[in-house]
Amino acid sequence: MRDPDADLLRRAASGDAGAAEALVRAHLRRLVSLARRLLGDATEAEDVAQDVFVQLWRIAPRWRDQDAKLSTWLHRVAVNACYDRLRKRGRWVGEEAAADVADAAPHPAQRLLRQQVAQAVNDALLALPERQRAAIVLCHYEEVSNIEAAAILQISVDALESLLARGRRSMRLALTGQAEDLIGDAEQSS
Amino acid sequence: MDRNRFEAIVAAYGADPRRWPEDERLAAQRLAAIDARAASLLADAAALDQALDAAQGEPDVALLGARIVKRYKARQSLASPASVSFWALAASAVLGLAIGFGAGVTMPSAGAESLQVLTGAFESPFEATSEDVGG
Repeated sequence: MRDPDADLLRRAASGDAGAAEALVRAHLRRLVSLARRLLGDATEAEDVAQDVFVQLWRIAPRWRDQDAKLSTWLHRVAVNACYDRLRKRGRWVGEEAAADVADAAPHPAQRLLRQQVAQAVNDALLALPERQRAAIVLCHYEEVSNIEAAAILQISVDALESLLARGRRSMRLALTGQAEDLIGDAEQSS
Repeated sequence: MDRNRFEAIVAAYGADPRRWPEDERLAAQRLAAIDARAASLLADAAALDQALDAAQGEPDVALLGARIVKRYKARQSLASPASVSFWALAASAVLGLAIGFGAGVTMPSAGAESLQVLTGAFESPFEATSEDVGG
């Protein structure tokens, strides 16, 4: 199936500002959302998204239709950019450290308001190893298919499912005993 | 679809069938409908899904989007034919000044020798001879 974004990119490469705007409108929000959840920092997330588009304009004249879908490329570049920033910050949490992550998570308060629920979940998400976090953000929040998520992360679908299962297990442990209270509080405050 | 595979799907993707692998979704839904243990697994997974959903939040990207498009237009402006001609002309002028200045600096005295250096700078080492063109 032809990628509609490829046509927009071709036109943007030729100087069509309308096509460039359409690409930004179609993909920017998701890229920022993805980067925010990976980095835990809104400003850095915007920087990553901006850098991704700078790279896109640079490679636009050389884009070939048989390459990956444009959305896959954009997400992959964004994920790798986030990984680079996390490594530089010294906040890279490898898989080998994952066993300690849930045990070290602070125990949340018994009753949380809706903002505290979101904060607790965000904290648990940020405590995950980056690859598990990326897998959950792509599949749960960005609702990317398993095949596309695997392509973005450049891993097999089996490996993706392993990351997802471990990430969800860690999230459950970090929020253990609070899930029903968190959901109950969220329903009461909505 | 066996129970082991169903459990693996729910463990990875959660309780919402929309997130399940497309090619296994129907079979998984059929098993969930008839298997009591499957229903229990789904209920547990749904609780975590709802907690994850509580952390949803849409970033406001309007200003960022405008900045990105502005940078795109600036980039296109630099690459336009008019700007290429301008920069090519500017580069040629700078190059010409640099060669002239360099020749003036290196030659201790003006005269025929300096003239040869200047003209030599513009001669191609690959100029065709009468032999090359069969003349």
